[in-house]
Amino acid sequence: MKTLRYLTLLAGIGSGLSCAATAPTELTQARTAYQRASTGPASKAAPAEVHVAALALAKAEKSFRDDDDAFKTKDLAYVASRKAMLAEATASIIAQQKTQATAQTDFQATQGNIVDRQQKDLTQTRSALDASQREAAVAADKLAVETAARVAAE
Amino acid sequence: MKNTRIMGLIPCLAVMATLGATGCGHAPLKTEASTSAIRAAEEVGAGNVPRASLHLQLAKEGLENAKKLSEMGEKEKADSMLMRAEADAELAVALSHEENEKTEALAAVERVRKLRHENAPMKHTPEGSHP
Repeated sequence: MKTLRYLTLLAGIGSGLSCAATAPTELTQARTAYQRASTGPASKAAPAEVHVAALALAKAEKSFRDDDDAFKTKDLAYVASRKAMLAEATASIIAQQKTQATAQTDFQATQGNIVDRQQKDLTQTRSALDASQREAAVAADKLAVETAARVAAE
Repeated sequence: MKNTRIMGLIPCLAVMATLGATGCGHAPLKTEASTSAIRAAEEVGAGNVPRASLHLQLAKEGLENAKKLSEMGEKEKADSMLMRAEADAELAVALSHEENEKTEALAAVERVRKLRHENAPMKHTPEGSHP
């Protein structure tokens, strides 16, 4: 009697396990892809696309619950997986565009700094040249005076 | 005589009506969305980007499979296969854009690096000192 009860229990567990059908590979992949997209940068950078992926996955899950072996489930899961990948790609595009914008700003700022520095250098060079020319003129005057004095003395 | 002829036509009409109702008629497969998504992917150069190229190829195969299924009368499976093709083509477009943006971002960063390097202020080392 005890053995019979035990066997009945085992049969019950067995039938319960067989009822929980294994999800098709496409659905497993879609769940993984969505998990990755919804917890990665896409969740912040491309929330609309992540939402679309969530809806697509929900459709696939519903199809799986209704008929776990249907081709429809596999195809919906396949699409959901692609939507999740699309969300990640969109997030990456946005990130690259931000990098480009930052680089563009850096480029302009660097160009501005270079122009400022060159103008400063030019001003310093002009001042030095002026000073040098003034000194040369003074020296020339002095030499002329000395020469004139020497000639007068002779 | 006339009635007999009409009565003879009835089975034929019934057969035709049944065929029509069961969709013998192959409602034409609506491939426009998939086809245009594939074309868009080709136009953005998905064929030249390895990851995008794979999905473009999958989209094309999906479209071909959908056409075959449709010819076999598997309308529902064909429509479902078209969804796959369209999703793959859309992903191919996005992956292609992603690659282009990556390339442009790298080029922009490199331009800044080069500008800074070429215009770095000269460092004057004191005379006689050696590094």
